[in-house]
Amino acid sequence: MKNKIFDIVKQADRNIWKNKPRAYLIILGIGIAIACLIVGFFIRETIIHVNYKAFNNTSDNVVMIEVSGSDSEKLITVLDNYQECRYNLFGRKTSGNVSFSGVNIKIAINTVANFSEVMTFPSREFIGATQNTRLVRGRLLNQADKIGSENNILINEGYAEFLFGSGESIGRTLTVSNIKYTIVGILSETDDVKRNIYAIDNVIKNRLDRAIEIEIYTVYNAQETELIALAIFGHTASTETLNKIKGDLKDAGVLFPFVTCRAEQERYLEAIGEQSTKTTNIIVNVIMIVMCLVAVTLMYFSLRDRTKEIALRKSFGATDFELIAFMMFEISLIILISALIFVPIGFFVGLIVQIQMLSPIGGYLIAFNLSNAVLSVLIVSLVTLSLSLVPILLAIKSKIADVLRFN
Amino acid sequence: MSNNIIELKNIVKKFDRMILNELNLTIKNGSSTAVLGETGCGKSTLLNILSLFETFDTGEYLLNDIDVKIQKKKYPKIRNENFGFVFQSYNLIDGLSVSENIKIPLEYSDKRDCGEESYYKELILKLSLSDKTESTVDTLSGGEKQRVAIARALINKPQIIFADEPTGNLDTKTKADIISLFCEINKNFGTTLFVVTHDQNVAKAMDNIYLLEKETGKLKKA
Repeated sequence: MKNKIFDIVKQADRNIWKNKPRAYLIILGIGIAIACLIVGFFIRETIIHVNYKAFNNTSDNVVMIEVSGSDSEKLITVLDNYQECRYNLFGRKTSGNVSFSGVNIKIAINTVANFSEVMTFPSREFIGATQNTRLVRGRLLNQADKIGSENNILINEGYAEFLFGSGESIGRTLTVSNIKYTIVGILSETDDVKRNIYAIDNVIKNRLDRAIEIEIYTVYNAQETELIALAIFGHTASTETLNKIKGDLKDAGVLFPFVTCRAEQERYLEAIGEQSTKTTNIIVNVIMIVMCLVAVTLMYFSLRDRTKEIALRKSFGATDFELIAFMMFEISLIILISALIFVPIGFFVGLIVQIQMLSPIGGYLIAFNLSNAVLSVLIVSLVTLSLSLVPILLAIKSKIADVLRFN
Repeated sequence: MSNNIIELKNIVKKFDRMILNELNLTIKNGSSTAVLGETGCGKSTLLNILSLFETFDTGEYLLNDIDVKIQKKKYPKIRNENFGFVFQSYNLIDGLSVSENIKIPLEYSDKRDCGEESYYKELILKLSLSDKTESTVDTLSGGEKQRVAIARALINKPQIIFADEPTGNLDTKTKADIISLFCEINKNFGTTLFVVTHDQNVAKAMDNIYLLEKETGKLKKA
């Protein structure tokens, strides 16, 4: 068995390189397809952000902060100066997409990939539909909450358990920035949505006419005695204020002190809206064309060059299964080589494209989303393997005598 | 068990006309047989049937006294263990080296053992390919290609080699070399030979010569 596998690997490797120009061509084709898909994912993500902004252009801007090094304490001081941006943390450590290790703190608080976690909900139905959550107990927020004096909120079930030790927390209160909030409903949680608070926006900031989900991230030092950093999803004020925040954050050692400016954003939105649609279409079309070219190239070469080889191998005793496995493995190996070369290229290009598209509305730091790379490679693998299977099966089913010309 | 490696009994094969009509043939172990015939008489069809590349309509095909029809699922294995093929157009895989081409049948063989490498060396020595083993087959002459094809046919130590116009693409001198090589293989390795040819010189070198008649679809001893 071990020998057999070794043979298959050896044969596949030998067959790939026996015609080097063809091997390079196929690797290039598949690689470009993978890279294009990754770039496509970057752009799609960008479009989501732009669309969000278009939908929500009167609401929050998101400040994305990455902190590292020993300036964290200074940062807290800076952040303390902007109380209007800060939602308190109930005095406890919360979980979040935060990485930190020991005393040498490296913190990444929220990323653009998690952008959708900060959303506005124009209607109560939208909460469940968008977040894939459902009401477990209590009730959803409604118009009465918006105009009423009660500061009513919803929280996720897991968060309720975390805070109160049980899901039975209807009617209990939370204090956030010295304001008391009453829990009126518990929402189910998903893998993505676990510890969130949902409140009518005006309850918190008295500015928006819709509900807003607030996500809070905190990071403590290794001894868990000191608050080191927190993530902010707050309202931004004027350009001047933003610039001041930006400058202060920079002084405090924030690596990427990008802060959105609504005025610039609105100007940009109109232009980018049309442009982004066009760009997306172009990218999608390019991907489709490249994918088709790759598939057609593979099919062409498989049919043209490999039919004789397949018939020959059959004549020497290869079974259909051995031949399919042999060919599929060979193609998989080509895909693997292509992925190793072109995934980094795809990320690099995608990153540049996304930064270019987003910098006018705030300059987001882009998250390295490995799942997109995996998905891209999977898509290309599936398309290539399934399209290649057709000519391979045709070749296998062809009569040996016809191909090898005993006639 | 008889000394016959192959026995065809009343084989009938029709396409748009009768190609083989109740054809009978016996091939003895270690013998060499040539089949002559005009173009389109059915020589290749006969070869395809013998090689298990094609089925026949009626009749009986015994390989080592066993009816092949009841072993249909084992055809790849039967081909690998018992048959070697030499084609007129060589059918080598371009881009692969001489040694890689020769060893292809071994990739599907259950009989691989430690003696395989010494047998391979003996073969390439006998076929004068020792200095060419790492060359890609695209760079070889016609005669060399056919020698590679013969080595490939022999690598699995088959009982019988089927050859289709093995000298069809070769010049006169190379033809003579290949013919004597076939005779040597037949003698030294004891491999049975079955050759379909137009070439009288090839046929003359074989123990048995048959003529396949287009009109009757039967074999006639020549």
